[in-house]
Amino acid sequence: MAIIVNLDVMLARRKMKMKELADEVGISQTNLSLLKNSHVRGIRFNTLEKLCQVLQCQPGDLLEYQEEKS
Amino acid sequence: MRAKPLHLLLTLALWLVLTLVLLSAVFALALPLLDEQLLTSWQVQQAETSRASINLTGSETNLRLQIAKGELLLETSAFSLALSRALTILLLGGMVGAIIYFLRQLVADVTCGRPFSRRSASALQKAGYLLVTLPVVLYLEVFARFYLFIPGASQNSEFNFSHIRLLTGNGNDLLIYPGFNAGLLLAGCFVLVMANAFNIGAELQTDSDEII
Repeated sequence: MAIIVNLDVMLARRKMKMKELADEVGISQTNLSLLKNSHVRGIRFNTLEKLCQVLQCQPGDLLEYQEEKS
Repeated sequence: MRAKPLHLLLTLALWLVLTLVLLSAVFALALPLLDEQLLTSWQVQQAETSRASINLTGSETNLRLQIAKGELLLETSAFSLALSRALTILLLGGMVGAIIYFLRQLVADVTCGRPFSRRSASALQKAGYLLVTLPVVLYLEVFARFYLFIPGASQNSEFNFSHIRLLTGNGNDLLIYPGFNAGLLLAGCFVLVMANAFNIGAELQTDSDEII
């Protein structure tokens, strides 16, 4: 997918574990893992808002566009 | 009505239909073996109201054909009629059973709280196709039964797509109109439209599941 989720990078920067983030954001670890590995079709604005709030970052820190090689 | 009791009712109906179908098929096969006569009838028009025998060429000795109260009655002890009847019962009963099974599958998905799935859409589609096919099978069965069991039927009748004209030889020809259940056809079309709606619902459900 052309959109890359840099959740693992932000988690490492904030020295946070997946479980902690999942608990604070209020989503399951499974869904967070799917999001981290870009295995989802999309992300809701309110989920993104909570992630940014907990990780103290901007949406652009979590999401990145990379052109796909054809 | 909640989905759970309906699921239970459909399970009961499925078992009842399967049991009745099997028992009826066995019963139909057993009758000629017990020297019992089998009866089959067709609705006729222009028939005399009183009982009257008709003569057709090629009549067999173990077969009696008569007209009574607007019905052409065939009484026979031939095993072929029993076999055909058993097969018809199995075919129609199987179709009804399959319709109930597919509707039960849909209700099971509703019970689980996820009605919009590929499985329920596919089950509805299959039930719809069966409902559309059922009146067609019932319609064609009347023609098939007539040509299979009336002796010399091909020589003594004229086939039209909507009816059969039975030439009795005494000028009082009989018209056999097979009934067509348009209600079942309409129900089948409605179920097929519902299946399309469930397909769209399943797509939306997948979207919703894959958006975090």
